[in-house]
Amino acid sequence: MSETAMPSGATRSYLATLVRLNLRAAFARPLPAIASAGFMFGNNLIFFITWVIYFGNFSSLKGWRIEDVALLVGIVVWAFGVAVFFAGGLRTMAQVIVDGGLDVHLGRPRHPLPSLLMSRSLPSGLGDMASAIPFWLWLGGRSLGDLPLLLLVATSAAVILGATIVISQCLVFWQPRAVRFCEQLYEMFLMVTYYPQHAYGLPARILLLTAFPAALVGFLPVEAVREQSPLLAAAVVGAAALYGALAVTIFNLGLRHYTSGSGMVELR
Amino acid sequence: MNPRALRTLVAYGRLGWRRAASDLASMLGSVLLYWLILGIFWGLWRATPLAELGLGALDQDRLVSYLAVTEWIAFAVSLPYREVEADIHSGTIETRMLRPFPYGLAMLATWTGEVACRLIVLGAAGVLAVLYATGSVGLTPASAALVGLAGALGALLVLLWHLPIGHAAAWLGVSAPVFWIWQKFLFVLGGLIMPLTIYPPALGAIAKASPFAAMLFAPGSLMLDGSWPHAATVLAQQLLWLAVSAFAAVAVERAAQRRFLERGT
Repeated sequence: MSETAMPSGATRSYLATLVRLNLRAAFARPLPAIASAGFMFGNNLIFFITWVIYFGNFSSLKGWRIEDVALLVGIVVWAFGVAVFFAGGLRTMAQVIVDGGLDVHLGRPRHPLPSLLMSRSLPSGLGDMASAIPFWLWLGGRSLGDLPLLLLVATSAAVILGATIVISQCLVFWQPRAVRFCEQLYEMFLMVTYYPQHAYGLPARILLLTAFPAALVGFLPVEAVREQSPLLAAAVVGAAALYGALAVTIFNLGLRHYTSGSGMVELR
Repeated sequence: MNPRALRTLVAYGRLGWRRAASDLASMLGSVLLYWLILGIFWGLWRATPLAELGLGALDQDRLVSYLAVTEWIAFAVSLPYREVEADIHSGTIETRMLRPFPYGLAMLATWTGEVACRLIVLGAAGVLAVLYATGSVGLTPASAALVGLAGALGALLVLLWHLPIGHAAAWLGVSAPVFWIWQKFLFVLGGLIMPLTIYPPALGAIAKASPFAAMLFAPGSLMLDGSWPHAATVLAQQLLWLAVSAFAAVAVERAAQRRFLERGT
């Protein structure tokens, strides 16, 4: 069951196979897949008009200019795109657990979390990832030289986003009726990440950097790039490792509950 | 419309109402999300140098009240197009087309019942939020009734567009991508976050001439200008777009049904 017990090469090969199979399934019907990606690309750019109008009227938002908001939106859409393209199972994880679909993954000779998360791929995620580039390089005014740092912090943000969703969806291990609540937590989280988080008061910001870590997905990566700060970038990467480990730990705890017998009865 | 058809419509509407009223967890979640977005913008407007607008009339309280109305409509409608999309994917639409009552009309009546229930609950939540944030709702009973009526018409208009969006799956295989684009136009041209009055003149004019303005901006603008002439203009604009949108929804549904008859789902 333990990922760490497996040779890392075998793990990599297993994950690569999951990704390959996912992509094949996602593009089994190419037209809807390409339409999803293309329309998502347009969708992200159209909504940014709101910010163009905002900054047409106001000089700044507590020190942030339109370039900073573009940077934030680019990081968030990249993070979301990576998460749903490579781990589309995130979105429906709670429902799968409640429906007993986890049994399929438990029957495999690997830890069930990777196959559960990578059980599907949403092609719209490609559109999200592609739209991050114009947000960074065109609207955000960043140069190609900033791309490595942007990719590092935005991909770390994807891990934090995915881990937070896993943690929230694990709630159904203990509260099987909370599926809809989990979905709404997911929507709330995405909603908060999309808007600049530096404008709120200190208590809200502390909450957004810890228990509801939207600021770790949006604000902190943006600051790392704005300030060109290796320390802040390291903080984002560290947060990704921490939240990733926390997600696996909580999932394992839930899994123990699920396989304890009483959990199975309750879930069914 | 004959009495029998009317009774059927009412029955579908009651079904929708019961569906929404029985899903308390979902309703609670919608209320929390609605409060959250109002909270986000309450914070953002507070951090915004609103004096730069130079209009004087638009302050944080009025902008939050405006947003409470536009988001009230957006949250109440939710994502009903998914039902049509699911019916097309599963092939259920073929059996439902055999019923002696038009599929689109049945869907619309059910959704109207659902949305009516959510409008009432979210409306109460919105009033509480505005009271908490600004200390007053700033409406007389008559102007509150007008906002309620314009909000209901706006929601009905949004619902009418969900029918063709759902039917887009007949051609594309999925409806979601069409919905994303349509929704973003609704947000931008409908003035979800900011009133169209502070848009650049050219974009503001395009937005006001679009059906999206009748869905969100028109009801929301009653929080900024509650005069009777403005209210009459809002209602007339909404009724005009309701007629146009109903015609378009029927045309798209017929085209989709022709496609199902020729090629299946």
